[in-house]
Amino acid sequence: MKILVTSVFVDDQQHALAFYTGVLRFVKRKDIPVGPFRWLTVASPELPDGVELLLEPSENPATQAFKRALREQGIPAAAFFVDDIAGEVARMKQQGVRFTMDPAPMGSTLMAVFDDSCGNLIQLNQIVKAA
Amino acid sequence: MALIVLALIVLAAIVSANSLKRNQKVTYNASMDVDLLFKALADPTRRALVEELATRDGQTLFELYTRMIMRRNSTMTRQGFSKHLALLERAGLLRIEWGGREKRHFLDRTPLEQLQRSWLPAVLVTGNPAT
Repeated sequence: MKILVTSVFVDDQQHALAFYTGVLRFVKRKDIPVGPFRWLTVASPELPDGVELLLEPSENPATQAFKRALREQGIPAAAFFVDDIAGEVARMKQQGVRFTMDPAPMGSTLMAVFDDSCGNLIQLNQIVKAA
Repeated sequence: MALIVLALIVLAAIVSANSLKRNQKVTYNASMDVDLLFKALADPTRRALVEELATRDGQTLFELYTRMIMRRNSTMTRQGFSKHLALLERAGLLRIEWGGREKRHFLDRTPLEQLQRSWLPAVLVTGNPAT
């Protein structure tokens, strides 16, 4: 059994595509019309054949309530990993991304949290190698 | 009897003068719940929460909880966490405010400052009348 797709609920799929490719630098993988929406996935260019991230619409009031509840508590909807968190954060801030938490040591990682402008908070981690 | 009445009048004048000096909701001595403040600070987890916010104010629930778990090796549950925060809020040490779409937790030092101005000076020096 393999995990080939995971997902985040986004307020607007077109805007999400722009953010997730333009700012987070993922690449689009699938874009297939499904009723009023799209099966829209992105993935990391760093991992060929890696897991795809489905940018799922959050039209359903249940998902909206879920997102709001997570949001209120500051809980991230997903976590992505980078090699240089300081560099990434600086670059993203220059592109206007709002961080709710600047990079800070957390266990064996450096962790930050940002707003993906699609209704979610996203966690960013850099694994710190033990000395 | 007359002396006691006179002392009370003088004390009332001092109290009201102090109240007018600061724009604060809790007046000097009158409604400060010292019992509740000490009860709040009696618990080491709650003191740790106060210390966390003293070093980094305005944290989301997620950030504060994560820091407690990761940095202080707390085994606290989410419910336990909520109870601690509720008591800190009742004691006037914690203020929760909306910041964007997240709730943020702020340390309110007012009860501690009042303690510093009233009860502590009163008992640190022999002869001062306790408030």
